[in-house]
Amino acid sequence: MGYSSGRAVASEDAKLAERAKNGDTAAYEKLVRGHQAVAFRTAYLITGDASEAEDAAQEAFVKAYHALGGFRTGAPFRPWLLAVVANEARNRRRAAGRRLGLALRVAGESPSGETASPETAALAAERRAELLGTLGTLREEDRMVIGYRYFLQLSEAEMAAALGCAPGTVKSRLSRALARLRERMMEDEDAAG
Amino acid sequence: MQPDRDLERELRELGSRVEYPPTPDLARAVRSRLEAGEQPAPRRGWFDLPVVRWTAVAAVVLLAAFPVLSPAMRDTVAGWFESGQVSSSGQAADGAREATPAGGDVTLKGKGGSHAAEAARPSSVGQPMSSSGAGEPPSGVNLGYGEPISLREAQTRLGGSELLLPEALGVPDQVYAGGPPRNGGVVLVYRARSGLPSMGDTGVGLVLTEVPGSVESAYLRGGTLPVAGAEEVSVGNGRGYWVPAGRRAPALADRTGDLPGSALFWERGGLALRLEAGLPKGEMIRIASSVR
Repeated sequence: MGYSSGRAVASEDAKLAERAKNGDTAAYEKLVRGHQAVAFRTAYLITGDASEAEDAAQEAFVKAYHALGGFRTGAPFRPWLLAVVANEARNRRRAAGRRLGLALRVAGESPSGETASPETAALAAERRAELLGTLGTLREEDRMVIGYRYFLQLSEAEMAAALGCAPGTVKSRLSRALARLRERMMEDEDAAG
Repeated sequence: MQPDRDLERELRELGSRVEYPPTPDLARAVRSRLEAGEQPAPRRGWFDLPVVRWTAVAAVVLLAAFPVLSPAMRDTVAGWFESGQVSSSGQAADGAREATPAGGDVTLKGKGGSHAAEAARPSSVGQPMSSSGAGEPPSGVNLGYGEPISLREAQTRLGGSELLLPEALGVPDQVYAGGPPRNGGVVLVYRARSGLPSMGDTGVGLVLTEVPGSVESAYLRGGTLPVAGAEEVSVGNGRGYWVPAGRRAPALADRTGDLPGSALFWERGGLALRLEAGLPKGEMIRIASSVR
């Protein structure tokens, strides 16, 4: 999303949020529709379960509606929302007594439709499987910061909101998580000989 | 790890290939809940941990409610425990079933909080079809089938299949979605009335569940049809499977099949259908044949 289109979306969000604050549920429905995909995927990344993610995201939207009174006029809606979603999803996962898993499916074909030789494609698939597997062995904080950045492509402000940390610490958290991922992959390769 | 490996580029590439489940239509569901005046579910505590919750619920059911339940409902409650697992179907506290000793009824809580079953006849196909009040007597049961939705929304929940209604009965009193079955189904509920007796103490006369797919994929716990306990019958020009009241076909039973009535399973228009009612087989088949 470009800067200008991003500003336009933020402006539209702000208008819808103001109308929703005044009880306009149709405006809120529109607001939800604009963010339901990222909310659901964020919840899915945390819970690892589609049904649980749907429940968490839906409940988070209801909670966010009732908390709109505390939402600062003109502030970006998405980071604020993702904080509510991530919190709800974490609580649900804890209540269910589940450890965070990385239940992601990865497409075999390139999204861009690029073709490669069978050997190159097989090697790339092997690398992806290896990367995903190693990622799954990291601690939750590291997995989430990497997932938010590279899988959901959240901004730093959105990542900070979802992680529940100060925006200034996101870069260092990501850097440390990547370093640990790199280290773990080297260990795995050494172990494999 | 190879020194030339660009980890960040690989992560971006991996991220672009992640296949997420389809995003559900949250916007409509959220609006329905808000317009029904629903508040967020209360924050969960330790009591809501599944093991603790179900242990407590089991204790309440067995020690307090069991003696005062009608025989049919006792069979139902017993069936939950026979199954070996009282599943929350991913809904944790909000999908719980509880017995209410004082009333002697079994109360089922729907997703996102309880929905009273006292529903008005719909004033519009675009409005959620369950709302409290409206002068109707409460049936004393919540259905545990998810959240109330409109007929129009029910249509959108079925993907490319067309929502089917029994011509013999017309428009349902309530429509639900989001509870079990989780795989995109909707549940149409008809209140007990003349010619449609209440199933046990529930006040519910008939329930029609519609799920995209086959009977096997929608309702069967593994295996293939036919299954023990179900009688093969003809519904229209197709096959159906009939399970009389009081008999259980374990492979065909699930949480939403616990009402103390007969059940009829068949397929039509890309949907797997289940009709539950306290009616004779012939009458059930007649109603099922009018579903189109």
